[in-house]
Amino acid sequence: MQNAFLLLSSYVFYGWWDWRFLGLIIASSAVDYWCGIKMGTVTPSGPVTSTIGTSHLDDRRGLIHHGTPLDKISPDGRNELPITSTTGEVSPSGQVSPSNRKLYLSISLVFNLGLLAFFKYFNFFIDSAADLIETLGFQAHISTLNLILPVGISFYTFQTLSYSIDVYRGNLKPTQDPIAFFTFVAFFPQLVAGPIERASNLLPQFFRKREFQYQQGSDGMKLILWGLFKKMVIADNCALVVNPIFANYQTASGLELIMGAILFAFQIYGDFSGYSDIAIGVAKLFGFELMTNFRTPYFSRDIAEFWRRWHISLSTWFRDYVYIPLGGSRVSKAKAIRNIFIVFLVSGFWHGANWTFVFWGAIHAALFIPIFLVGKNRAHLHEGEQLIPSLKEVFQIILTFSLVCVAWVFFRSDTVGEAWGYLNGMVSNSLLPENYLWFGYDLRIALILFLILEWIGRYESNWMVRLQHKWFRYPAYVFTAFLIVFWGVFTEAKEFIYFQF
Amino acid sequence: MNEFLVKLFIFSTIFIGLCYGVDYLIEKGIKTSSYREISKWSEVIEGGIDADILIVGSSRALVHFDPRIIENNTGFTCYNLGLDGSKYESQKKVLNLYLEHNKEPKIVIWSLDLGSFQSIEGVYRYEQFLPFWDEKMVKSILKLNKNQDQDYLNIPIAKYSNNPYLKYRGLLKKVGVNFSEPNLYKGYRESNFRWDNNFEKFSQENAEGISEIVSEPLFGDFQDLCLILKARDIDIHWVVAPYYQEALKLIVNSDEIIQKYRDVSNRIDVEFQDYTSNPLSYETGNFYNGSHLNSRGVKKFMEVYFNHSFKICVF
Repeated sequence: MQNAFLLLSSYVFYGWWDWRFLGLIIASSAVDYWCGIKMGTVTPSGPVTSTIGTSHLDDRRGLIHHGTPLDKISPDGRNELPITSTTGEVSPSGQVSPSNRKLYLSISLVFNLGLLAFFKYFNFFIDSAADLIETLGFQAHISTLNLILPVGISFYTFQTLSYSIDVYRGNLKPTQDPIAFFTFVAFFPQLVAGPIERASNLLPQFFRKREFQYQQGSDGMKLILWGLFKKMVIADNCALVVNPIFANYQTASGLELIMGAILFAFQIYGDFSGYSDIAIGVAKLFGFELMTNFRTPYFSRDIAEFWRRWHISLSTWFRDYVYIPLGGSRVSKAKAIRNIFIVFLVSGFWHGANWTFVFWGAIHAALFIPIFLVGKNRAHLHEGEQLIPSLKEVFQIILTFSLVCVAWVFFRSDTVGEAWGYLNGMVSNSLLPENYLWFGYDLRIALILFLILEWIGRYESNWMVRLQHKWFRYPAYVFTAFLIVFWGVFTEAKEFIYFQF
Repeated sequence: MNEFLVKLFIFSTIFIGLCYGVDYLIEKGIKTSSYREISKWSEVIEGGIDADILIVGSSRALVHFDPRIIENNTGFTCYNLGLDGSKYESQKKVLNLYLEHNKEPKIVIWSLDLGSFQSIEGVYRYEQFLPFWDEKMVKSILKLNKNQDQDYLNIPIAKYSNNPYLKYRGLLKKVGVNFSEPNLYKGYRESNFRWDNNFEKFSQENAEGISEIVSEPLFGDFQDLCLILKARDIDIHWVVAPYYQEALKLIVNSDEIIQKYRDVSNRIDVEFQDYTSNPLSYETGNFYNGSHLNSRGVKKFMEVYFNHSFKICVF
């Protein structure tokens, strides 16, 4: 009943944007549900019997995570642990034949990636092909389609793909509960911009009765509050400064361009991590635990650490479903470098059908590979707890942040040419002209406060959980809420940046 | 669950109370401020303005018609209702706001621009009306911001989000901090500026000239309004104040528009005075930009208007 209500609410939520695209998400869910069952395990007589990891679940619900360690996964992605039960087409031994499993995985991949390719990349490929043909000296008369990108398609297709791949690998036993599975795909808090959940984490939560827990609800409200602050105070105020700078980068001064790049870094972080916090917080109110998506990435001391802290749900997705199947780092150096490049380029391309995103990914790959080659990519796995960083750490943080800002210029620009022009302007335009654009005291104070609070809470879900005494806690909550109203941007509806992906 | 809801209720109550409290302080403070024309709207909404002559129009009304000179010259009381950056639609609404709260004037001098009857979306510097958001007519004025989602204007404090400095001005004003703002005298803003040379840049950018649009529905509505006011025994005067001559030349259809104003004024029997070719419009020393007289120019203009034309019309 809880799941049915959630499913209905999620579809209403999604349909509110454009009901016509409900068909897509339902189709995507149906295909993966069906493929999952076909790839899964049953006894030859038919009904499902679940074995590993499902003792607390009834058979109808099926599932669960086998907890396969990564070293048990072969480079082709197959689980090297024995598959214990099967569903669907049954081989004489009681198992679905490997070729059939591959067939159903292929159906899932083709369908989901096909949806993405059509809605997100069709026009890009057509345009790029036309450009290429014209570069070769031929006339190209190719027309593009007037397509609307369905909100959240990149997120829910990846989420549902992870299910199919995990079932194929044998890491998951397929669920037999369509309501739970469809709700898992459409779960409204994280439907349109993530975190991209793994079935192994989220799906089991639909199989237990959820009851309101005070601590979970309280933590959820704190996350929502801090997420709103990040979005409405930090991101939206930065956007007011950033947008005119990027729109007029040709005439902007060097200082304005530098400021624009830095503020965009805060804008996108506030925007996306703010959304993630709100999504995780709302999920908590419903009794769900979603994965952490950001862990103060701008305090990273190198690019490798940055990628362990930025958009974690996506970077681990690519790690588990692209990088490791390609061989990861357990191959020759040359192949490992190739794998890193592929993952970063694909990650960039995932964000949008534009060469700017590919360049953004390529820059990160170029920054990551030297660290990888000298074996320092896991240098900062263990975090210190010190409140005051050393000078060396401050230098590392500033350097990493600066490099990330340079890459953001590609992410934010409409074309690669504009991004080059922007970066060129940073060093060639006059640094401080007579009339330069600066930003208000509100934003300056808000940014300083934000950085201090983020630093304090950098090893927690947020700084609020560090406040123990009620005489500090409650005024802090009220004051944060007050600052959202006092400093927040309300003049125009500002969509979350990642809604476009 | 109950403990959670109780704490949430207490939190919300304190938060909402704090927001409304601070909003109240901002509003009280900002209403006494001369930021833009806020003090004018305070006076208008407070009511009790007993003006015989009411000036209506855009910034060219706001800075061209000095009630001190008018009162000295005519013996009538005067109030300037000019709204910076406005066109006819918002001027009409501001006039309605005035008439809702104040005594009807005997004479309305409507300062016309060549672009008065252009249909535009939005109210320039609309934040000056936000402290009066509870007023029905103010809501109607802000409805002219057609593309603006106005729901947030009902949220305390957040309604000032468009211009954050209003919040600080309001709060500081409330605790006695004063800002150096140009004070309005009976709605008039004195402009002691020199020629700012922006016109040269503007003329270079618009070397081929610009054409002003007169929206027939808006101009028709204006005529109807004038007839209604006349029926209420209010004398109507249309005045086109001086433009700097070189600026006027850039408006390729200025003669046509002036002729249109003249023809219609004759037809509906309202006074019409055109000062676009007055000698004072040839001297940059009388202006601070192409369409606005400075205080020196205003003195000359008022002298010409009230010592000659206006007397002939009224007395």
